[in-house]
Amino acid sequence: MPPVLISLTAYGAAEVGRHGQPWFARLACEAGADAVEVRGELLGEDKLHDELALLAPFTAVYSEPLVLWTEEGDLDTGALERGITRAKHLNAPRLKMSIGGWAKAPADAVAELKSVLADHPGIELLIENDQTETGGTLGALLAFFAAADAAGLPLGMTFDMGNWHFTGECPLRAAEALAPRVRYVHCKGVQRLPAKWVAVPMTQSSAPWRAVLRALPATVPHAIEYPLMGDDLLAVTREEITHIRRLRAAAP
Amino acid sequence: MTATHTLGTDIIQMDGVNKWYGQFQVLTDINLSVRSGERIVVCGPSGSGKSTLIRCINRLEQVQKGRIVVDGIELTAGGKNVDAVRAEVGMVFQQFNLFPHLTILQNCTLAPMRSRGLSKAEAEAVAMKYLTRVRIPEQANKYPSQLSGGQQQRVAIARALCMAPKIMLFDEPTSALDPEMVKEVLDTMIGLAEDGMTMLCVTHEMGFARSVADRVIFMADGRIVEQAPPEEFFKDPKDERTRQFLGQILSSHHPH
Repeated sequence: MPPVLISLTAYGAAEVGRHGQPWFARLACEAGADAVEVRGELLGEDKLHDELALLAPFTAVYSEPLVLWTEEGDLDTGALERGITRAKHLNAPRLKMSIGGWAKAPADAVAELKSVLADHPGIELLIENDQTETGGTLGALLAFFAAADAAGLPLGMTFDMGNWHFTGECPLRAAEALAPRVRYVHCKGVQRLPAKWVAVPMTQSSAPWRAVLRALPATVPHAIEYPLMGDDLLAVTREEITHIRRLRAAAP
Repeated sequence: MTATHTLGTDIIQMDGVNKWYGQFQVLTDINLSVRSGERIVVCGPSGSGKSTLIRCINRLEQVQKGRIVVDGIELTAGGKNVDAVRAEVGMVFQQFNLFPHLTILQNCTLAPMRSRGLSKAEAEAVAMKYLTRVRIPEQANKYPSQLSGGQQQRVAIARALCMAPKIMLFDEPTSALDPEMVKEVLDTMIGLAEDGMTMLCVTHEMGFARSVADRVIFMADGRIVEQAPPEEFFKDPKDERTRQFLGQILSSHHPH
């Protein structure tokens, strides 16, 4: 049975802004989540250290919103160091980031990343497919992972089930191609509105979520990253956690 | 739902209303009649005066020129008329404005006990009736900080209803909510509209305007630029500014 996490974006940015991530982290774990993913974009600048301390007992993953490489192809060491520092404050063993403009980076770009990560052996960097062409298409990610392997940095990834739709990729094909690298799954369904994709619970998804999930490793942590809402948020969260556990317990 | 209900006589009348903040004129020559049971959506770009307009109706904002009559009571500088009008007009704000140190039930019973003279038991019975109506009676003994934004806004609506208002004003009631939470508040408002409540709602939720409003008012630069039934307003906007606004808002907002 995989650990089930709640990505704290699931509760909505306005709601998290109102109550703070620690409030929702406690609620998620009370509902049975094994841990939470803390979101950098939802942290307040005021009392940041207090907030990180409150979140630390619940956190397994820190998600850094800034990307690893800038549009110009420069490694954003500031963003990387910030992500590592915050992950350490949170006692989170995993840091999640996207590659950003790696395609424009020089040939030894991964070596520079490897060098920084070598100073922080307690933090595992997971690369996420995001919603951009440079950081969320299958070709871009396969090329990056191949380069990382060649540099002696065999990175794992966070597989976001919904993001592939934003970049026009086939999520099932991506799952089949990347499954051996997947260390963490973002569970998410999608629906198409007239002009954009939106995240929804998997059971409401118009995408073949069940086949995608089946193609991914069943034992790695799975996080809920679709909207959790309702008058009894504890019950809603508990129900969705149970749903993920049941799905993965039934995995072949 | 469509606007097929019967409207009553005028319940709000604004004649030649002008308002300034210092040298800056925020409302210019506003003439507006609202009939009992009418549902009006006010939209327009930021700073167009739409919130100021509805806040004048319960005298949260004073006007320097013009005349406002609400349910036969002329809003003057005197306090008595203001109190009388406020007893008839409920208002729901963007940021809910619940008292954080009071429970949900206490938030709902405070004004009816103080202003309408209800006993505690009577006020609680009324409060529970409306909390049930907005589908959160089980939250009665919690504090606002324990509720989601959508729940808090529904409490704010219930609190307003506890005063048995004849008119409800909504000032961007969903704009502080996550998109997924908008529907639960709009559904509550639709329920009120179906019951014949007179409503003025400042919102950018054009789906709500299309399906609920009898009339959509577009404001810009402190003036009412255009007003029409929704089918006409959306299909054939007359003013270029209305067309521009609708083009922007409809490309960025979608039904939830």
